[in-house]
Amino acid sequence: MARIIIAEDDEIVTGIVSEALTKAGHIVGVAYNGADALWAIQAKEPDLVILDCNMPEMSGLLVLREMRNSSELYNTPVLVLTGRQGPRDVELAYNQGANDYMKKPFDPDELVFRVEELLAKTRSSKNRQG
Amino acid sequence: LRQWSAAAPAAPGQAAAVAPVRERYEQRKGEALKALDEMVRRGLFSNEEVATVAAHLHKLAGTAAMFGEADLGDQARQLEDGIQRWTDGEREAKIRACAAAIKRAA
Repeated sequence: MARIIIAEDDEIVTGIVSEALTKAGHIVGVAYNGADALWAIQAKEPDLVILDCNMPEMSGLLVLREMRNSSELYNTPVLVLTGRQGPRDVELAYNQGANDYMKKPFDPDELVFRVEELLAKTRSSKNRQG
Repeated sequence: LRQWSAAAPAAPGQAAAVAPVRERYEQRKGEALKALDEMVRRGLFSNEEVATVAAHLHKLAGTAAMFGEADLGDQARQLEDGIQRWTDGEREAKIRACAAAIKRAA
C-alpha cells in the first residue's frame, strides 16, 4: 500500500484514477490545481505523485520542477498523465524530472501497473542505498 | 487536498461509485457537442469562439475512449489539433467537416 497524490483538474479523470488505485489497495489524495498540489506534496510527502500538465494556478511541469529542486522531494517518483500528445511534450516532461509519462486517454489497469513498477523501483533503489 | 481516501468496500458499492463519473462524462459530452453545434450554426469562427470549443474538445478527447467512445475521442482530438494548425482561409470548412464527423461518432 502506498500514499499517492493525484494532481489533476478534471474530476472525471481523478474519479477514474482514484477508483483504480484504491481498488489496487493504495491510499489516494486529490488536488485540483497546481498550487494546492505542491502544498499537499510538500506537507504530506507521498510515496508517488501523478501529475497533469495543464492545471489552473500552476502547471504540472512547474510543480515537478519545484519538487526536483527540493531535497525532500527530489526522489519522489512522478508519473505525468496528460492530454499533451507531441514528442516535444514527452521530452520536456522527462527533462523536468518525470519518471514516467502516460497520454490520455489511458487504460486504468495499465496506469496501476506502471504505478506499481515505479513504486517497486523506488523501493529497490532505497534498499540499495540503505 | 482535504483527506486521503482508501478503498471502498468491494462488491455492491463499487458499481455505485462508478456511476457518477459516467454521468459526469455524459454531461461533459453534451456540453461539448452543444458548444460545437452552436459555433457551427452561428457561423462564428473567431479565435475566442474557437478557443472555447477547443477547451471542451480537449477534455472530451482525453476521456471519451475510457467510456467506450474511442472514435468520438479521436475525432475530438483531430478537431482540437486542427484548430491550432489550420489557416484562417481553411478553418471554417475544416471545422464544419470535423463537426459533422464528431456528431456521427457521438
